[in-house]
Amino acid sequence: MDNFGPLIILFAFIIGISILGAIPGLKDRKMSAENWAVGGRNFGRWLNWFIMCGEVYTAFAFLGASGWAYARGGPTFYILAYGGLAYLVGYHVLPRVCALGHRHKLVTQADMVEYLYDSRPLGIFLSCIGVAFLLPYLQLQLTALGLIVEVASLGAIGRVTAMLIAFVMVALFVFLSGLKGVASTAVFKDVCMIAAMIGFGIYLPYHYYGGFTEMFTTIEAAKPGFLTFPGGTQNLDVTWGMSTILLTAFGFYMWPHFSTNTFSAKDPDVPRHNAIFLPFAQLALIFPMLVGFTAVIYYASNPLPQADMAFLFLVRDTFPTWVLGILGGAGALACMIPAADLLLSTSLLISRNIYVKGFRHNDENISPEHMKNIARYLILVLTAVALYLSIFHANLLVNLLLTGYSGVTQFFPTIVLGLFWKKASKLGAVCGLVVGEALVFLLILSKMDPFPLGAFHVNAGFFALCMNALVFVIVSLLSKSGKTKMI
Amino acid sequence: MRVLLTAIPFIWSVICLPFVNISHPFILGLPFVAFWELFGILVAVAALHFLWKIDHRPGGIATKDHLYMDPSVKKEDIR
Repeated sequence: MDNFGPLIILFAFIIGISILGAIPGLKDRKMSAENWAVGGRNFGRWLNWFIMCGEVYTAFAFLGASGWAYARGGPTFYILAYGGLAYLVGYHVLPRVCALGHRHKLVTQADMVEYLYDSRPLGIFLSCIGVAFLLPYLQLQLTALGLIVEVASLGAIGRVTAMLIAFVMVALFVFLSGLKGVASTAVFKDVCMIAAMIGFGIYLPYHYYGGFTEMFTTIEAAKPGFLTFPGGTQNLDVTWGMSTILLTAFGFYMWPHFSTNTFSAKDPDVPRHNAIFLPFAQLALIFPMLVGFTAVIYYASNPLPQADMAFLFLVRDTFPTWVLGILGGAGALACMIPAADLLLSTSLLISRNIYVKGFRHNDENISPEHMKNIARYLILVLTAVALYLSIFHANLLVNLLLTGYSGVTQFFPTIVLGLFWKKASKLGAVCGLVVGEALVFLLILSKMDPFPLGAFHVNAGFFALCMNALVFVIVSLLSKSGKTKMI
Repeated sequence: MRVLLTAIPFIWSVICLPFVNISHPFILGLPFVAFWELFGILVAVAALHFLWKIDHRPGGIATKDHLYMDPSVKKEDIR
């Protein structure tokens, strides 16, 4: 019975959050598919802030950052750097995205690109790529949730069963709530996450070493060079760090689900306001890294089976089991809520931009009920695909995140130049995208990420982005027609 | 000015990285490079704060938002 203590607490968290998330959905049973996704386009500053914050504090922040600090050391600090820069990019780009959404009643990122370049095939092409790269992100959430269930069961539940449980939990949660549900539960989840990260991030280093300085001095003595780039790796050097920071800063708001979130904002001042206040949340990301560094020496003689488990294992080995239950509960919320948001956006992309526009010729007569059912079936299919991937193609959490980033960042020239550069053309956008995505696929599949450049390494996605932008600009300058509409 | 405010955090966090990739001295108990990048977030917040101020002055970019949102306003009329 003792073994199930952490699991019981974990499930109490999950059931509580599911009920909380279902309330707004139950009140408003006649929601249209559009409302289900963009929530009536009237989200104010703080509600939008909490949704976005809910996106930043994913399972990745929790387990991935600590896992990387444990396994690789210095290169983890790229995570601190990109946040502020990403919001700076967002500050300039998102107000225009939001305004365009209001002006033309856009719901998804693909709608926006379709409008800008007046090309439905380009919109469909973009949604296909978007879906392909949302899957690793979704897989990341499921994998993390599976890890949490596995560790919290104290070995009673195996990996595959844990993943299945994670799958059921996520699918149920999305069925019960829409974007409104995600928003109302995100507040609770953010508070839990921040409290857990700060609490453990400060307590553990003090408990084992008596302070941060003492801890880092010990690590420095045991592993010289571990605390700077390239840390415990061969190829994650300073140039890799710089290119990865840029890639993630530009790519951050290119995730298809962030476009939908931006369209749900009441006016363009909402994303501007968000940009100023979201970086504060980014500051807290140092704390899971501190936990990861604590684990470096603690597990020095007895390495962990999987780096991403560092946070959970250290808590399990330090505290009574109920503490692990609380941490697991907070972590589970951090997986489920972003996963729900991702699933909503992905199913919307497929049902709206691929199914209706691609196969049904944008038929106006498709009933909202039919659309909603399609979206719900898609959610099941998508979670199942992510489940399959996480069981059979397991990968480190950060690697999953970086793969997705490399892919979606290729949208940056398409969207940003399409919004701000009047010479941008459809042909340029297509050529740039094809070159960028082809390079990402080639380099990642042939394990050329990080991409060697002389004595240095650059992030393969960043290299692809540069080529993409170059092709985009040259082809746009050469083409006479098919220019972007801009607004 | 808007360009400068946007450039400063990028210079701080990215361009400076090769020069701050050192562990000593520890500041607030953190390796120097970690402290530098953490402080970079605050640099970005400061830049964003001033950008907001500039954009909300009379005639600033934020005062034209309603024109961009209104479908009846033509592209040529937004200046």
